[in-house]
Amino acid sequence: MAEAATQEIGLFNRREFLRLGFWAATALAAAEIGGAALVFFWPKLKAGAFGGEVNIGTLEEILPQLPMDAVPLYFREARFYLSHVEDGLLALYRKCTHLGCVVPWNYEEDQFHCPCHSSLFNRKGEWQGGPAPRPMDLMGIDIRNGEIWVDTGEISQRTAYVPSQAVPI
Amino acid sequence: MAFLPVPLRDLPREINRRIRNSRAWKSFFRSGYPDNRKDQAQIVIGNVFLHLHPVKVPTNAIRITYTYCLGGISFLLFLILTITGVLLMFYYVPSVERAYNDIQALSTTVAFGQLMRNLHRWAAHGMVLSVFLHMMRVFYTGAYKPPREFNWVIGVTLLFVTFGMSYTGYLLPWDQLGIWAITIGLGFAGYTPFFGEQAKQLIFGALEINQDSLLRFYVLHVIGLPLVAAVLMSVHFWRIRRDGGISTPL
Amino acid sequence: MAEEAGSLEERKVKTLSLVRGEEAKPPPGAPIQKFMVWPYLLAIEFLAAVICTIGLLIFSVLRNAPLKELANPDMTPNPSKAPWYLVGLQELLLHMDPFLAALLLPGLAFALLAIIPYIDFETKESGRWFASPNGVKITIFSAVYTTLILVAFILVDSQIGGVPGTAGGLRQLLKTWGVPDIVGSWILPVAIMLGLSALLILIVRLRWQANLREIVIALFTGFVVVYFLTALVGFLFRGPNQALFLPWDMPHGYDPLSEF
Repeated sequence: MAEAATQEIGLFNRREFLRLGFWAATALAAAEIGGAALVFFWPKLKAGAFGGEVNIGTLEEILPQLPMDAVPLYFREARFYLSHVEDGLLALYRKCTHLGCVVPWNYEEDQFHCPCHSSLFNRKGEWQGGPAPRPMDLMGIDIRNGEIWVDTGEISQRTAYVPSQAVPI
Repeated sequence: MAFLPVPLRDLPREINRRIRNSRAWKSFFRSGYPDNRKDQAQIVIGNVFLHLHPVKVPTNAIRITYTYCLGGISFLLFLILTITGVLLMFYYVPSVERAYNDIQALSTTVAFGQLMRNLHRWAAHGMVLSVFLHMMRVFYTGAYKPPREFNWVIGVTLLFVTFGMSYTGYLLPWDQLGIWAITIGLGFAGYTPFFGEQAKQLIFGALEINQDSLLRFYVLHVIGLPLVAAVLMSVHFWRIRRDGGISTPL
Repeated sequence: MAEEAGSLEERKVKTLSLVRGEEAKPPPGAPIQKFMVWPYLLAIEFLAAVICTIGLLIFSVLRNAPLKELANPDMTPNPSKAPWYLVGLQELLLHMDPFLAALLLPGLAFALLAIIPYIDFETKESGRWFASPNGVKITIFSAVYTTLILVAFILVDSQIGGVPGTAGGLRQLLKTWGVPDIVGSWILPVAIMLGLSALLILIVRLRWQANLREIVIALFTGFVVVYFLTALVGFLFRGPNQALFLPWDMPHGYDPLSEF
């Protein structure tokens, strides 16, 4: 018995090989369960108002309410601000790029002012102060036949404002 | 008179004697009432709850000013939290439509509901504090030193789990206090390098905090984390005995 | 209460547990005084449990758990705060890069806490509060040192640059001067934290000839003070826009205690 157990088969003797096989199989099973758990818990995002493309109205309807450099219009359901700057329209995702608080417009300071950690942004979503690491995120705007469509599922990050981000009107 | 085995005067004592000598009683209590050294030792060894302790402890080690009972208080608070938590579960549904109303109903229509919620809340804060203070006590008395190193590591893990239990509970009332505290806290997770957004979504179960997040936190709060804590606590207590009992002051 | 000869059963129990390795071997020298768990220890534990339970009950009768308005994902209250035991992290967030404040530092804190026994494993001073008379002085010194510097830093950081009263002024000042943000959000905070820790070690080394245990005591004390002090500042003194106010003098009728 003892002789058989210590008999060499290549790199390992039989006992070592079986032990290694046992632990390798166990590790593999554990990894599979871990992977399955990850997939199991992965969020199931539902298509809805937020996450899809939203029609917010025609240019004729929106522009009178939103002249250039006016206070950005807030679209609560679609979760963004529509801002009118010299280069055109910007759809700013309402969440602070710092920790995800909803950033309200502060009328007195004439800028976005995050209540959580005082991050400040201007009309273009540019960083003005506070701990936020980057400007406010943008949603894609498409103007088709005079109607403004905002893709709330297409949220893009940026490091700085460049005029090409605005959609000309 | 004849049907009584003893005079009426001795009847209570006789009943008591018979009960204590019955098979049922003796199967229940292995030793006599612990009013002598032998039974005192036996009950501590034989009782599953008491055998957490050795039969004897060093006089110095359990001076109030040495331990301040902080570990024991943490465990007591965990037990109180388990009991009040289970009671609260009878009146709480983790849904965004109902959760807030259920908490309000607890304080208005359920008898002692507000008291149970208060006990649960304050015991939770108390447990975070007592676990932290327990860690400070163990540190400043040098009680983490060999052979107790690994038990200290388990203790640090338990501190983390305690934070987790308290934190997941914070969301459950579904009020402004809860959801924004959680949003901010989980914003932290968003700064994980490379897969921050994914880490956040995995915990939230969504892009932004919603029903899925509430359910996740609820399940973690009422069963997931307490189970982990209970297992770690068992190991923690077991290791105290295995590593030579409570540390002794000089 | 003291150890006596003990009955035969007791000695048997003791021998058995020694054989099983349940009890540490007593150190050579004087015998340790012991007493029976039943009734003496259990009485103490029972009494402690009763006192705590009654205290908790009284507190719960006197003060209701907070409940704010129904959750509204569209409206972030100003200010919004994490629970008190995490609000210290939120305070750190005001002064440095979020990855550093929210993940690296707490992760590092937990990791360093966990490995303390593998750094300081000298058992000579085990079981003694603050290890030595020097340990007491070092603990007090470290607590005062950390408190003064932290309070000074928070005050300075809230008064310079940007909007006075809001935090992170140093960082904003550097940013407006055109210094790359990495200086204000990473290099400076890390340098300050490492520098002050090194200075603390140096002082206790020079002043008290601190050994390893005492240095660990100084650093741990610093950690504890930072934890509780940032929690206190964040919880009581941060008002709307995370600006500093006195707790009883908050604008817009905000009451920090209403969140506890």
